[in-house]
Amino acid sequence: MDQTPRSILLIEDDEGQALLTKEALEHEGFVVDVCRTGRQGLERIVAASFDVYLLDMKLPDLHGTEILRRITTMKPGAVCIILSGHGDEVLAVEAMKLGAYDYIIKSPHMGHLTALPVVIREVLERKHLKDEREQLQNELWEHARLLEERNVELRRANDELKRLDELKTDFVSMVSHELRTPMSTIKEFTAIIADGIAGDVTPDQTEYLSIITANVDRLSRIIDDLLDMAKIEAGRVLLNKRLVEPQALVDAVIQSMRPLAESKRVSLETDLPPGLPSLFVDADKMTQVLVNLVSNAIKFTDPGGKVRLAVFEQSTELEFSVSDTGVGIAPDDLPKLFEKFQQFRRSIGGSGSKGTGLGLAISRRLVELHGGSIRASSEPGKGSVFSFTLPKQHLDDVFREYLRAGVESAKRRQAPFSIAVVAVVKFQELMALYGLEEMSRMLKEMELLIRDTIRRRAGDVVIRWHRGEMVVMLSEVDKATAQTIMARLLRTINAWRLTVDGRAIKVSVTVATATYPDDALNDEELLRAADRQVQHAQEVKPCVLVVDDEPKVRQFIAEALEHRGYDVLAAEGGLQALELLKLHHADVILLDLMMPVMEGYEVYHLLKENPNTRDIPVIIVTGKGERTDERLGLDHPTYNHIAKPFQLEDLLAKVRDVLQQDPKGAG
Amino acid sequence: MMGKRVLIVDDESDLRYALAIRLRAAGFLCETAENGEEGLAKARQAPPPDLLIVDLLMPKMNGYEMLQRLKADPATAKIPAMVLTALPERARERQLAKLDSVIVMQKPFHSEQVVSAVQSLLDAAQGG
Repeated sequence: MDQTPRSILLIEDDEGQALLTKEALEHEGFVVDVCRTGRQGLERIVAASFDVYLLDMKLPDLHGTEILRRITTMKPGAVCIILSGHGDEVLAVEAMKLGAYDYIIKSPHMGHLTALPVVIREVLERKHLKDEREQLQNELWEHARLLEERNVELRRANDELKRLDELKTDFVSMVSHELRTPMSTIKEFTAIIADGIAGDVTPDQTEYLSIITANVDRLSRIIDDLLDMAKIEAGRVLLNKRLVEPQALVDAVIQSMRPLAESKRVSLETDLPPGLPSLFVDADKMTQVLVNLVSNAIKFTDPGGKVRLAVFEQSTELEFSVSDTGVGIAPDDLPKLFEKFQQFRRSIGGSGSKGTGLGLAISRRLVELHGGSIRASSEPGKGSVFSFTLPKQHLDDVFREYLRAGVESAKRRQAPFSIAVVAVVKFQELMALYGLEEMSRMLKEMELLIRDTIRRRAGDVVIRWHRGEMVVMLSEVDKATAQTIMARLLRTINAWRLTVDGRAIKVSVTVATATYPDDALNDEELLRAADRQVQHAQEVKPCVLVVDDEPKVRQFIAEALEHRGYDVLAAEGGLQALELLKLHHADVILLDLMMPVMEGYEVYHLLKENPNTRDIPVIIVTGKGERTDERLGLDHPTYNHIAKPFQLEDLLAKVRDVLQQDPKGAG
Repeated sequence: MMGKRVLIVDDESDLRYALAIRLRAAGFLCETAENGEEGLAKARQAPPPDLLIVDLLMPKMNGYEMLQRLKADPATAKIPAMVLTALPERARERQLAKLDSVIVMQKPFHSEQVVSAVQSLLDAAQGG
């Protein structure tokens, strides 16, 4: 606070009080003006401003609140302090509501004058802070506004960039189209003539026509390579990665290269050990690279020579190598091999079609885009070896990459993308009960079942098994379809039984789906959304054990319960029920009393005797008019019953009630 | 195969011409159209053509739209179609995947390939 003394306007009609107050305040360093009536005060205020307005509430001409109102209207933000008489607290409070900063009650012997300066100073401090805060708030608003403006600008710039980007793609497409069309026409008519459709053709003419065609083909290849290179250089190559078996890749390449090799009488060999890990790569691009290397090798190898394609597994990568017994490359040429437009002077060699000069440069870029590296070595006269490496990837990374790529692809194509999570209920317990091997088998079987149900080619479904959860990716599937597919899957799995040690075990799963763009906008959110649903579902799914010897009744009740979101186990008799309870957990048991072999009563007692099952609430299903209480004991806390025939709704309500009663809570 | 009618729709007149020459030499009857609009009109005339050869990129109405409309009309929905295109993979995929049409040929191609493709398309259509 600066040093200039604060000015106070005191509006007080009592002369004595006014004088004393003025003195007291001036003693404290304030400058005080006095007005004896409300009107005078207001006139004063019109002419000048004060730091503080001290108002007596009981003035002869105007009421204090009226003056207060006028002051705050004339000078918004004015600091007004009310001086009110004893017993006028209500008035004082009202004044505060009208905008007074504070009030002080006049004590009969002016004792309040000691406190008054303190109050005034406090109030001034408060005002100062209030002003500061307002200032900061304004600055904040200003910043926010600027930020918003900048955001708008950025968004606009982004849209512009996107538009230009699209234009570029179109540019490449258009160039592609414009160049290919005339080439098409040339080839067409050349072929029409060569095929004799336009009249007989002499042998010479045939030969010349084939030269024309060969050159058009060469033009075509150069254009392809140029466009490839342009895309790579502009960073516009989109890798379409998926899990690929090295063997499959190599087989495809060899198959397409065999005709060329045979026409040159060059033998084509492969060398791949079994058990090579899968690669997560763009299969088309890798094929392109391998074809490039193998065709070069064949081209520069004399008849009778050999070309060998081998794959080695290293610690963190896979190495592909193409070796030949050809003419080799001069040491001077080696360093520049993978640069653009190098037609290296391999001597004589095959006459074969000339390359475009870009093949190796493109191959290098493609390999590097995958995180690998390429190199060559050679002995002139003996042969050359071209090899490249590709990094091995962890299954988890692959999975994330797949997910990310899937969402990106969906964004580009403006198509939906869904994932579904299938989680095995009580996975840990099952694992403990049956062991790792059995669980692995179960997961494998379930995986097949799931793939079958979803009916997609194996390559499209990526499975990540992680603590009993499987994630399935459904591309171009919208939310409604995903849910339909999953409902179907749920029914299928609920009907399926796993055989362990000759016993048929029911495995329960929960399924959840999440769809881009409905539920999430990126891969991480998508996973989280699905996981959350699964967690939730697992938490609230109570398990009901239905024990009834009538299969139709069992099925009917089971389906009704499952439909309502319960997990259901079914047993046809007491023995089976007890067996099931050894393997599974149930939250409530629906027990039919009239059953052969082991009557319901016996089962009931056995359940209550066994410490593991004693506390599971049981709903007894009795026949019409049966008296059951005596034989069962009315006092057992978990006795509930329902009589046949019952309405489904009543049964469901009973189950619900019983679960809610359960002191341990439902589930 | 003799006497089957093929409608060739492509804005490149040379290409239309070349295809027609080939197909006629193989015994087909050919009609041509130079854009989607004209193609649509000609395809709707009775009797309908036995096969369509359609270029994707054309003015006035592109091949994709023309095919969509024909597929939506029960009278013409069953006519097999061969799509010609020079566009890169991606564009083709998204659009054509939604259509029931059959072969996609990338330019440049040998028109012989087209002839044999036409024959197998027609065989397949007859086989139901």
